[in-house]
Amino acid sequence: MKVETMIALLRARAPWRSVARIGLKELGLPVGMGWDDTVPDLLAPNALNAKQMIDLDGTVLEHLIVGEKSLRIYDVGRQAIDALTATMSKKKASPHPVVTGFPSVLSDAAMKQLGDVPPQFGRYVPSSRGSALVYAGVRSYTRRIELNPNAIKAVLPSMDFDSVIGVVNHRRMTYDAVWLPKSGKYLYVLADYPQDATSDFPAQSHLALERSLTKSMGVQLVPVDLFPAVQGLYDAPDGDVVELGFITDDDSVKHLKARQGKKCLRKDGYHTAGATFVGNALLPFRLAVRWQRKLNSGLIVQPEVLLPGTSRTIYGLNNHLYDCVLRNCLGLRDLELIKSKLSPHI
Amino acid sequence: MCLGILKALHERMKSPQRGAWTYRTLANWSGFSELDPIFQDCIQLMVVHPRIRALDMHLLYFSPNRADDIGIPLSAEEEKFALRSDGFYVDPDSGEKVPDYKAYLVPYFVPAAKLEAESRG
Repeated sequence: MKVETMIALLRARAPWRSVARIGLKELGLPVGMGWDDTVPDLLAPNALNAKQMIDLDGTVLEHLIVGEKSLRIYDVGRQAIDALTATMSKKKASPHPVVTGFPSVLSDAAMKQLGDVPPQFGRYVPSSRGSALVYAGVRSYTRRIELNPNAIKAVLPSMDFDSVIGVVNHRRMTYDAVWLPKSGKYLYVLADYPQDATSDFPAQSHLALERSLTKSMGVQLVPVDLFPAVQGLYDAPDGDVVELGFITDDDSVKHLKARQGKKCLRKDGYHTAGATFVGNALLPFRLAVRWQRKLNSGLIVQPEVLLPGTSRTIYGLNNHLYDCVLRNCLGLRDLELIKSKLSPHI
Repeated sequence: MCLGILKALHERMKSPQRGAWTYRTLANWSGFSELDPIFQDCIQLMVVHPRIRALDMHLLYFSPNRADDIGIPLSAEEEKFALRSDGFYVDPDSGEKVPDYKAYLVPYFVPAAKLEAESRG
């Protein structure tokens, strides 16, 4: 990849403060306040040495696989994974123009010309712990954008707006991945899930990839139920709980969120006092846990998993939770970490 | 009014909680109106006056593009940049400068070292 492409991919896809900045610093690259302050230094002649070029390429590729995703886990058995790995390692990229020059960042004009494109196979990426199948596509979604009320005043002088919200139909590239580990019976599908999109955004990729995998593997794929992991991770000792939805045996639904920082809601004074009051009889239905992963340089990545259950999941009988959300992941090691935390509970 | 607020602060320091205090929490404890400009001046004085220095002020960023944002605390470096007259603030998600960023920053207060020391006696 060219440096321009690597930066454009990170800029379009990685949360700045918790991921992109950390990933660049880890490689010893100059990092300023925000992208405008950083890009000129990275694009300067010989800004990156040969090793940094290779390392950044790896960082960007790994982030395409694990960064800001909705995850579904399928129990397909070891044989099926080995068979799929063997087939896909030899498979050529799709002829569709969306994967020409894979991985790339298409311009708005190019995306407009293509229209919406379901995931197209782009590349087989081998690594020490498994391999990833990476797909590219294009999808439009609606976004809310706050506008400057003064600018609207010029058009509508008779109205005084406190805030003006614009709704735009935004088109962006999707990078979805299938992770085929070297051990274990589970296959992992990671669908792109930008922070400002709603849950139907990744659902489209999940549907398309599930269909395509069913076809190539010849078995019906059913995602693993992740709901037991809500209680499991709440009871587990490690990680910081940063979001928690639960019911007790009274009539209200509780939903807590912690701000950035290190606070764990399990230890929140208000929560522990309340939990003691109800005899610890609480049933969690929604949970986000954040872990700390130290990099070689001492910098810390904070991968987070959200199990987005609703109170309906817990009141209903035999309801399931098929996907979880990965936030602030930088590389494959973060996926490994989250996998290891979820696996005892599924 | 300053003395009234200080008294309420000392009272509050007896409890173990050290949270993020807003203009409203401080007004509720001291019995003044958060909208009273003199009250607001008093709070500012408690932040900047070298001999009082009871409170430290920090900033929270509420993203205009996220509907249910609960606010992100700024780091010390970000606060320094944001408060400069030619300052700016970069959205933690997008890494892009936020236009009219001051409209999305909200102050909160924590007890300053001096107040902590006084409350320990």
